[in-house]
Amino acid sequence: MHKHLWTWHRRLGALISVVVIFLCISGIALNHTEGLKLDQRHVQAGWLLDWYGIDAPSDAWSVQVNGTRIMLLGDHLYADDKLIAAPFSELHGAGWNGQMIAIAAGAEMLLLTPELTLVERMTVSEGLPADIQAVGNGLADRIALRTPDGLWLTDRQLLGWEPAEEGAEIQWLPAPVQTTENIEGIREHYRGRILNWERVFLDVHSGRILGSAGPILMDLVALMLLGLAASGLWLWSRRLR
Amino acid sequence: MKHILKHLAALLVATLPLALAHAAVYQEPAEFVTESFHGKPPTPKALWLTPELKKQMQEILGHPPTGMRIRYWQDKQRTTWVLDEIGKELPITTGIVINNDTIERVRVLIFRESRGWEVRHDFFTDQFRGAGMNGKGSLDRNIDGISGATLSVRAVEKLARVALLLDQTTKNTP
Repeated sequence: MHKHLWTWHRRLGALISVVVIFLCISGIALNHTEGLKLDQRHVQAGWLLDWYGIDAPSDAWSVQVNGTRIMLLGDHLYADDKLIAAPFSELHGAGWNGQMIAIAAGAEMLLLTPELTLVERMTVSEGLPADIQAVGNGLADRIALRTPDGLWLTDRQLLGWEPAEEGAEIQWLPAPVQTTENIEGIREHYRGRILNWERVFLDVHSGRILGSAGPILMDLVALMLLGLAASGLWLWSRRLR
Repeated sequence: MKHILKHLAALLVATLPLALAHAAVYQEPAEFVTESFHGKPPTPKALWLTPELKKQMQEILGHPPTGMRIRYWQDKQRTTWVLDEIGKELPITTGIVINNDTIERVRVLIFRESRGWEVRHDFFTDQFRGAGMNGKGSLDRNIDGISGATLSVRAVEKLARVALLLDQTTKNTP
């Protein structure tokens, strides 16, 4: 009986050792989520993103301005390959006033330097006209907007907006078009911003990384650990005698 | 199994916009600015963030500021600022009026977090009235916290310090 139990004790230990290693690593990592910034670090590994079924949208909306491609992929706004901000529901257009790129997206206007550094995000709360439909250039490259409430022109510094008359001299810029060309790099970037490592470690720790069967498997492992502890104690007590 | 994980991923993607959609707007920023100048707000100005100013802001906020300029409204010695700072996960929009180097008024305008909304109450924001900066870049008085709203309290306090710093910078900028 003693020899038989000893054999099973060893077999059980070997069997669950791999799972215990995963449990220990994920548990320690989760205990230090903030220190390790697990919630801010995103998974880039393609196979793991595939495992989670995470994909990027296959088409995007884009517009060219001052030699820069402004693109909305999903809810992420990019200038060339650089992520500017998120989330946005729609790209309305973009203009150039000789100093800055002005992008109308969602209910905001984002101002970028020619080097694509974000200068400011303007919202309706800060006086930006609501429901932007189109972006254009008025005289002296002033940015113009068309909204249901009429036409608007900004000052040279892009700080304020004033109504313009219907017949104002405005050159309306091309509206964004749907595109699927040359977006693979940006799609990969988009995909790599969805899943953080905290989520992965939580799923590893609970077994959910393996789907609905995972937690049941972890329950079995827990029962095995209990069996291991019980058999270990019993064997130890026998040895003392 | 992949199906479940796909739904989980979709949930992750959907979480942020949903959270943003539940913002509580206590006062529109434009309304706050107008009210601060008795119905006649001056034309907005822009304060460009120099590397030195960014460094000072980073010391207060604990992270670099977003963007390269901050708009403000000024009438003689009074300046009004509408600033954002993240409490735990989402930005808290706060309006701050500075008059003669001290805080005249603090008001939480938009609160997007799920907890810590108590900072919007006057009993908290009134503590900032008359506060200025001490020589060490902190407020010259203690601000009592609110249990359960520590991160929001911290965010509003940081914004008050930033507003005082920015106000000082506008007066030192030729």
